[in-house]
Amino acid sequence: MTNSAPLDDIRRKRFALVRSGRWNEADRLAGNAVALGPGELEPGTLAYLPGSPRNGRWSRGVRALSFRAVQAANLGAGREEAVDAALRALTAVGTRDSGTFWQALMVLTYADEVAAAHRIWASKAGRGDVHDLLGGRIMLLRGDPRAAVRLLDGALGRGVHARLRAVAVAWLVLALTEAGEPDRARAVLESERLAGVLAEHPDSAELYFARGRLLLAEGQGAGALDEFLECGRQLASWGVVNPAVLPWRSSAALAAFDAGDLVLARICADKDLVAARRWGAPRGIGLGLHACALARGDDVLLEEAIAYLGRASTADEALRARHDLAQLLLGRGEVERARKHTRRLREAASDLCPQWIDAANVLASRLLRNDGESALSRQERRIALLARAGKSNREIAAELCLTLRTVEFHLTAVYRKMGVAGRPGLRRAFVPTA
Amino acid sequence: MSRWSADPGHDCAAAVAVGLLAAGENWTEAVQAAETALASPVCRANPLCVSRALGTLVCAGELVAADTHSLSLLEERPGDRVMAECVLLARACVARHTGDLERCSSLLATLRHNGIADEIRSVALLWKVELLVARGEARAAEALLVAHDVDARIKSGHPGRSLLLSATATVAMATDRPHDALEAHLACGRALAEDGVVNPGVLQWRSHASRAALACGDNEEALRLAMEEHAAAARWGEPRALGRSLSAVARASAPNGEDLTTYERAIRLLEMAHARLELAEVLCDYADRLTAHGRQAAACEIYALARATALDIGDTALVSRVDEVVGCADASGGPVLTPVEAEVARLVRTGLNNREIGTKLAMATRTVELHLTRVYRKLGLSGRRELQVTRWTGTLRTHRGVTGGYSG
Repeated sequence: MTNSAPLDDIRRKRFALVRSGRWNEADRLAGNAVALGPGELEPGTLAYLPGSPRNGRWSRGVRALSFRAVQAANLGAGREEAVDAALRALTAVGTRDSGTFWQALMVLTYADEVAAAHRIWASKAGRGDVHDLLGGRIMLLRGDPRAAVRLLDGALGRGVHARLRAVAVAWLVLALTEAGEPDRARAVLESERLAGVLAEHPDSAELYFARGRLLLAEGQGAGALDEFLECGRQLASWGVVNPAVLPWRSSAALAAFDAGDLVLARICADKDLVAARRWGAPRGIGLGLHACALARGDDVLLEEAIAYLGRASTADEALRARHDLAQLLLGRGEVERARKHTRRLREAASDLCPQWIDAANVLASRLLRNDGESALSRQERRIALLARAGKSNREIAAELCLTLRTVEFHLTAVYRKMGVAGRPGLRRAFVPTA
Repeated sequence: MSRWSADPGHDCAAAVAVGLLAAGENWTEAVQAAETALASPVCRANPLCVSRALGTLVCAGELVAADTHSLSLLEERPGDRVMAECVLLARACVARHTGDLERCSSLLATLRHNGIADEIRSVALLWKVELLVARGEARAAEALLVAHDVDARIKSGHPGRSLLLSATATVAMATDRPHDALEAHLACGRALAEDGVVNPGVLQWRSHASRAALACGDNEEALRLAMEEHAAAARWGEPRALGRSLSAVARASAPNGEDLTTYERAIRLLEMAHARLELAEVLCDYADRLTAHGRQAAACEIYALARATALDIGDTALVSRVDEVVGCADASGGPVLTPVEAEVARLVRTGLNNREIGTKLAMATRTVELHLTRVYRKLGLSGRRELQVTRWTGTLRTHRGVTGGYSG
């Protein structure tokens, strides 16, 4: 994979160490190799770093500094030190070394220092793949998916360096999904031949993640879950635990929730939140809280999640949390609060994310049809959850030891109380679990 | 059992962590308490606190955090032998959880047991017994129990008796005495309950007991134990314990189709938890079950995967179990779909019909049908519907490596 035999050897040893659960020893091995290794090397061979343009022949000290920041970000501890190291490396080389520039800006985005990253990125005017791709990523994280699409699409159209292609496609798919254009996102994947089984690629985690988000937006929870879990498997083989690198666990929790696997949703959400708190960047914490809140049906946690996501996040993530909160409140019969959040969702969506306008309208019409008595009874809730997970009335009757007629009777009440037209509406709606 | 239950009058964060671990109700808070303890200078200087906090992290599956803390503790306090023993034991536990059996045993060998608490010694003994059994050296494990006078210590109410009972049961199971194994596991469960430990994350005695019950022919008891463990593991909410309990449920269930889904969920969780030791065994059980369902081709592939995982972690007992079942020299050469077949299968799963697939892949509908027939035969599926609902074809992609993932 690299051009140097000793480096290949270190790379192999590193993967073996990670596989045996010796994460820190693996990172030390790689860190030493970068500090002492040959003049030019691709840091992405020794640590997870999507894209990973080569470091030039800059002093080994600078190279080791930015590499250490990447390693800290991957393990998800020591955020301040990582940011500090990234900034110092940037000061030392500026944009003259695209490898260092890439590493430092990636670390800043992982640490939610998006404003700083944007300032630095904008001050170093340039064209070229590295600049456009980083710009796309920064725009996406600043909540401007359309600008991200322009930059990434432009770069791909011109033809990016082969090593950067996968990550450019992955980020473009994410940006298109967030901009409410899933069809275009799907078309990009098809035309790049990245929609099917993926060949081994160092950045495939990014692709799996983007495909998962796309499936989630298309309402295919089970398929999305598979993509996220594969993304997690890829990252685990690299030794990445920080959800800021790719928030696959919280996304998997949302997908598992959609697919009706509440236990898996809770496990993914809890693990994610603990790791996000360890790293301490608000976006990750907000995503973790969102997933935990959904898995537990906890509106207070969701409000907290929105507060975190509002501080640092892509627009889509904050809107999704607001949408889920309105659904949760509606499901609980707290109509007034649900109405308030639906209104705010529509206001925010009309600026940036048109795909959420439809969702807000669906909520609003459900609220209109609502006759004031909408809290589900225990039995209704149980039946609604089973129906939502795709069970037929007959299967539900068998599982709960009821007659078919009783199930139908309860479901009618569920549809009326939730203000949905029938099973398809129910599938898109939120059923409180507790 | 001071390691797991909080002492009265002592309520530092490490004690809180271990109390939360024993109760098994609140995973998040247990992990956070353990990390708080390791961040506090007082607890960090106290071997008992360190051993509790690291133990909590390991049992909670937060292995990266356990690795980071234990490594820096070793470097911080180079002369502190007692501390080093506690930390090395924790590192051995991490190695055992990730399935690095070789390293686990070499770490255990460096422990000299100078002044460390008695129950820590019992933990080390249990791991050693497990390792020997995994290597197919059941007799040596039995001798180890005798050498440590385990029976007498259990009878005298030793503080680590639940661990000793688990070790006894493991040896009994490996030497074809399932009735003794079941009895010892049940006794282990009682001992844990007396100490207030109800969390399957600490010791999964019920799934072991369930396996023993199956070997005794008592399916009803096996299923009951497995379901109980599953309920407790779901309360605790940690993937390794949950995955293992699900596999116990699947193993004890009748082969009605539901069992395969349960196995797949278990495998998914164990992969997430990086639990290769359990994964190897569960893959092997899953393959057995696939065979029982008449899906030879799928079983063959899973056997190959189980074998590769077992080989990687050094579980020779499991490797020979696979070799015995498969009985073919080349276990790795299972049925592999050609790229075209895989693509056709994928498109079927996305809901396209044969004509649409033909258009998409620029081939005649008849050719698509031909490919599909081969796919069904290779995967042991009855037809289109089964291909669409089965999760298994996903494993063609996801089970690429030993535990998946990018390997360079």
